[in-house]
Amino acid sequence: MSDPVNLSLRAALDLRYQRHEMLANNLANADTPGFQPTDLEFEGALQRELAGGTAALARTNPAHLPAPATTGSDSELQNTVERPDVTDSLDGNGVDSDKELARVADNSLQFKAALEVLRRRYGVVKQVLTDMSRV
Amino acid sequence: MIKGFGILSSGMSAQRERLDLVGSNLANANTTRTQEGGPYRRRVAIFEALGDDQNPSGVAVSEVRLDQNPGPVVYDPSHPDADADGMVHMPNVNVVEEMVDMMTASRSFEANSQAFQTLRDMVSQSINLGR
Repeated sequence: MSDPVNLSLRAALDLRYQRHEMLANNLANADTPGFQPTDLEFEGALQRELAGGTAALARTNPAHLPAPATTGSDSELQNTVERPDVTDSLDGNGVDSDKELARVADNSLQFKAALEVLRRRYGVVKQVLTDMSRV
Repeated sequence: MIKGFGILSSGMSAQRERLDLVGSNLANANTTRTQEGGPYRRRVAIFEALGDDQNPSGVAVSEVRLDQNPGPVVYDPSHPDADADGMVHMPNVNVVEEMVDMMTASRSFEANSQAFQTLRDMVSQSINLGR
């Protein structure tokens, strides 16, 4: 059940949750003077997460996906970037709520996609188990 | 466990507090007597971001400040609070400004509630993964 593909899907889901948290914080602070929004640089963060677990599983081929570290989700967010949308607001706030909401929608859709792949992978296992019990 | 809910609800409660102050300002747009003396002063919510980049924790109303700008002075000798020259000091509440503030607060509230809904969907989908 914990082959590299499942593990990397899990890491992706964890990071989607974390990114949603940061976008949520930007939305909550949309009216805070001087606040600069942050975002998770997703691809970089995923690479880092996946690279963390190379000690656990040996890779016999460089094309193999490395497995993530088991403590990955609790580690500090390393790929946080500041990303102001508005640079000329009077109170120094850099949040554009509309763009932020669009990112929330995008992030949740990507989350759904990864979840669906994981669901189908588990579905295959479930199918096998059901068929085995019929024999 | 899932911090996003806390962050978004902090956003919603901060906007609600701001709406409360808008309500108070509108209700007192013509109040010339207060406990501290003089006309009513407009209340403004000051927002403060909690946590830092590594550990975002939402927003809070750090203080409620009184707007110190002078309000209009109108000539109305029949008013009980008129001074010797017949001038009355009115509150520094601009009704139009308050309405704009009210709309901004309610839109921000909506944005937070929308993201809350999205997070709720994400969580319930992950829970259903095991089915």
